[in-house]
Amino acid sequence: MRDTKQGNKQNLLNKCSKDNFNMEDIASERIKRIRRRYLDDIPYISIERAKYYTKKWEETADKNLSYDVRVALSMKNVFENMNFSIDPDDRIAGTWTENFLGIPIDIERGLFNKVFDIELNKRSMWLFGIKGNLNFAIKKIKRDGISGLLNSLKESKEVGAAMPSLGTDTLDQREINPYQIRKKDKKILLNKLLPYWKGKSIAEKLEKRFLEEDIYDGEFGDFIRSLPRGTAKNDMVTSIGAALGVWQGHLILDHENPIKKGLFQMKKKVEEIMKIGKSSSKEQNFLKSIKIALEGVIIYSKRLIQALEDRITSIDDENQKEILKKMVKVCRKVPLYPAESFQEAIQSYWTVKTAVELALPFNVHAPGRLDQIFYPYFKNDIEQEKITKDEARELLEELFLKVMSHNIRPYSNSSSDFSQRYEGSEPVTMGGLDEEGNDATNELTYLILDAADRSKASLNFVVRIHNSTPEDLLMKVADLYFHGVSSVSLMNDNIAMKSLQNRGFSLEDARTYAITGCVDMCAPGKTGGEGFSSLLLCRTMDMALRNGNAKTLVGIVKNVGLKTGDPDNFGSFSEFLEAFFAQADYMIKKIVNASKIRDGLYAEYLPAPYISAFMQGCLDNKKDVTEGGAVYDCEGILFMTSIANTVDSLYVIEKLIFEEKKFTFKELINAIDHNFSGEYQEIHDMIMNLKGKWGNGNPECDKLAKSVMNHLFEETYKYRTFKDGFFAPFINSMTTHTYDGRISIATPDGRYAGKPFAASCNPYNVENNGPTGVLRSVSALNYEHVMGCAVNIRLHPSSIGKTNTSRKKFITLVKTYFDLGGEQLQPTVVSTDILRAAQESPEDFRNIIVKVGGYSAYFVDLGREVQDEIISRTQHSRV
Amino acid sequence: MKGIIFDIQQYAIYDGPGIRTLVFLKGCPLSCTWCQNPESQNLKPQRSYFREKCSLCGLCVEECPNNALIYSEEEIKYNHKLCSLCGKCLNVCPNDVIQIIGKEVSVDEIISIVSRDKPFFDSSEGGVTISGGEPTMQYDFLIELLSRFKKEGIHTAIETCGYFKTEIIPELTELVDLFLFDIKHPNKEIHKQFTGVDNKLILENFKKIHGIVGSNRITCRIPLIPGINTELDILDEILSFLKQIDYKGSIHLMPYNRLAKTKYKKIGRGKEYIDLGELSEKKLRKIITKIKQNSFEVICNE
Repeated sequence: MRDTKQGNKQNLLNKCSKDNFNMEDIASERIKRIRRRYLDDIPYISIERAKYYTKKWEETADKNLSYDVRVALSMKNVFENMNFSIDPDDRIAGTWTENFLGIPIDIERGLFNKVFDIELNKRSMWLFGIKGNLNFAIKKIKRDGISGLLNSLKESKEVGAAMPSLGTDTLDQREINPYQIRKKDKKILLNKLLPYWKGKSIAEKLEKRFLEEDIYDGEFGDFIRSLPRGTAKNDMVTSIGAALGVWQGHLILDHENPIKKGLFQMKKKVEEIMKIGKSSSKEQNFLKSIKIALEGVIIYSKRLIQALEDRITSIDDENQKEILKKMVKVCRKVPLYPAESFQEAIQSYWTVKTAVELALPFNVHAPGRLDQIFYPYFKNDIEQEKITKDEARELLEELFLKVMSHNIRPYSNSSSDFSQRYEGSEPVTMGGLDEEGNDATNELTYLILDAADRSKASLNFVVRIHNSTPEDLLMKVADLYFHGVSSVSLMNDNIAMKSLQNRGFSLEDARTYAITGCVDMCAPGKTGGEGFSSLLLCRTMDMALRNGNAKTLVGIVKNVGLKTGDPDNFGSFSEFLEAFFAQADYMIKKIVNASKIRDGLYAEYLPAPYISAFMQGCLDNKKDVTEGGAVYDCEGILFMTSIANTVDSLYVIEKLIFEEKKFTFKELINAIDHNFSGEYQEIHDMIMNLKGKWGNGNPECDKLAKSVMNHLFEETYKYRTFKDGFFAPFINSMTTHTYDGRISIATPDGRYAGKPFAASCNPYNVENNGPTGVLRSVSALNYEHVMGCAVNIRLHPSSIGKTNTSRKKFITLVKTYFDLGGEQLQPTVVSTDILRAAQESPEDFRNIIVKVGGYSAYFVDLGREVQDEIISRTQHSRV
Repeated sequence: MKGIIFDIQQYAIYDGPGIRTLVFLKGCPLSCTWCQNPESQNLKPQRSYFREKCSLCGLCVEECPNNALIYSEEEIKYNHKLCSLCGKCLNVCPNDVIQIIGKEVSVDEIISIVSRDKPFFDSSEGGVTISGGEPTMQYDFLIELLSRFKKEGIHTAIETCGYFKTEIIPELTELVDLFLFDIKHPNKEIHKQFTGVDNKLILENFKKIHGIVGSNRITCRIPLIPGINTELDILDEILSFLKQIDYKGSIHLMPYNRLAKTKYKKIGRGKEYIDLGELSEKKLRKIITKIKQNSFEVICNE
């Protein structure tokens, strides 16, 4: 038995080398050690932040202080008391907890408070599970009787669907994305900290306000309360067709300011402004809060020096002492004073990022255009021979792995099958244009790509491409793809810039855009936050089919949408389309209202002085970032579950119901309700025999896709946010296409109940028209109004090939797609064989990175369902 | 006009210049022992059945209106004489093990599908490559296709075994921008033994076309079949033929692979598949060096 297994394994490995998948790990031993620990260690939950924040918050309660000042002081108290982890492999210093790998707790925002409250103990998980299920059963029986409950259970079981269940695996025991906590910390967290914040956290306040302000329609309020749910509160559903992201919003801090000026100078400037000019008391408080925030980061920096010095005195190893002494020298200088060398620029960046990330955990503060920010320092050091390219690259490798370690979240176990440890967002942006419109590619662009390859960090590395991008850079990207480096994604500057300018960004800011979150465009250091909500397209379409009711696998919810009429009474396809639009517009309005409530809560109860201090516009406007102090602001509406399934469904309805009159709406709805089984198989056959759905380059369907999406896109930017920013569409699904698919009924495009929706901007019913067909369909949408999208395409390495000739063809494929209007592309270049092999022996394929929704992830870290979804994406190859 | 094709593949990057769409026409006058597309040989549509993935559920047997399928415990037996290729069996198959290879399509349909990729052809200087089988087997259809592609301003190439009537050459050279022309073996007898036909006509046709269009519009392709044409002296003979006719183009090598095994099984010819082994990397390098020594450029899709 063992022999066969070994034999198989050898076959697999042979196969890999044949596919040119790069199994070789060329990183240095130091980088390998860091990576290995990040991949294998179980992260600690640190309570230091929660503890010191809460302490100060309590102390300042009766002192008549404004919220911004209290937030700044409380966080400063964290910096004054927290501990650091210093590792022998560190060359860049600073961690956000006392652990090598750990997470702090955003206790005042409370996205994960309930996860800690319930999922640290088996008993509380049991209780929560029983309570949830009982609640569900009672509500269901009250409404539909026992037979109703049983029917509903039978129905979901038949299609292999199940409401995500919390299970009984505590945080430290679960297979995917586990966390551990020290015993005494757990006690303090459960007995003191969490009880204090109960009802006070933003997440809980938001939940309460949704109820008070009647945000739920029809039976939705009851429905949502009756469902057994997960415990994480990072997003909240507001309707069957809409959900809201709870955090403040993705952004990129203005790192150039602290790198160039240093924190002391920045603080001085705030003090000057406080002295001169007239400020209202609100403005005075704001200025005070960012002054405290800067002091907080200064304290963090100084205490980091202290920690390094303490370490030097406590160890004997002379080599290690030398390394630490060098780090002390760097940290004495930055970020307190301006950086002068490459290493100092990197340390300055890292210290500020880590401190601010700790102030607002899990908010995703992407690095931005690192090849631009670091280049002057790199160039200078190389010219003066202060650093070699290899040394510079290795520093970048360490940096990327460290950035990755900020990108872990303790999601609820109920969604752990759909989650992974590192949510490889936090994109690094490279290439593109400078402010004057010249090509900005430099030597560091290439070095960063090498570092991406060698570190195998699960981040997004975004290469911006425009008309004068050097051929060398494109060939470099092709080479990386050929060797299976799938963390690199490509952006089309021509379209991206138009999109930014259409939303009011200046030409210079459009030229120097960068990507944050997963795929979200912004002006780095100037965009105060891109909040997220989502429009669930197929669910919304279901409302148009059912006259304002909606169906899920756990039952029908009445009157959640508008009464748009019985579809069988519609005389034409356009009448149905109008009904769908009416439902969608209504959901968008709901999102707008809900996001205003959320943003209002942040502005009132949890201002963000630690972002405001590092965001352009806030100081000039004397306004916190949560009030709209930044130069730009935006709320993204993610188009999820999904464009492909929606467009294909509409195409089926147009063709088979209205044109060919093959069946009626009533018959279609019946078929959907019976998951196309039994007598409804025939309808499914007809649907599947309708060729030319979106993704096959069929001009007719592509045109439909464009006009439908145009309507929805336009609807989003009718509205303004609480901070007077704009709303804009984003097309990115993270893993929700799998998660949402699991609890969703069948759809008119032939997708069966419980199955994943198409991911992000991917087509679903791809026949076999090659990557060109897919890209033609995808590029048919009007991206000049889309602020970010993810287009996954899975390629076999032979689609890129070994020779310059074949690689040039691949580059032409990408460029032509961009000329046709495509905005983004993120190929995963791993063959089906290798992904299957990785499922079988994960330990041999630890480093394979794939694109999930908008982000990169280690394939073997993903749950089986998500893995299978990725494998099921059409592989474009010649074989 | 209609013809029978068995596949269309977009984004083909190894069959002529630029990004191309491949159109596979059914039917071939040769029957090479090593044929990599055995499903292309027969001119007519045919059924393919993948036994390994069949669960023997018997749904197809029930569905068949012509009693062409018979259930047995080893496999679903097939009587091709009774089969009308109606396709009902593949619609009910839960495992997708049945396919019908080859379908009748109109020139218009093909033109409309292929020309959608024109933006990719234009930017990469690519176009359409008509392959097979042997595309000249459906001659009228081929000519109609080529003329229409010319009208659309799409670059045309054909992949040919070279076994066709010499009199069609003038018309072909008018319509074909690039010939990808196989030369499989220099020896008459061996050629006949392994492909079923003599190579005389093939070599003559190559010479004649080359005489008309020159080396820029014809590329010599050699499928490298272990044990059959991979010895250097055999290649030498091919090279001297090419030198003799003053061929200056590149030589496109196509190493044999074993991917065709299941294809044979699927069309009920599993017993005919012969495993010729794999060409070693070392041998391939030797061959490439040899050709280069003879001052030909080599293109090789490994």
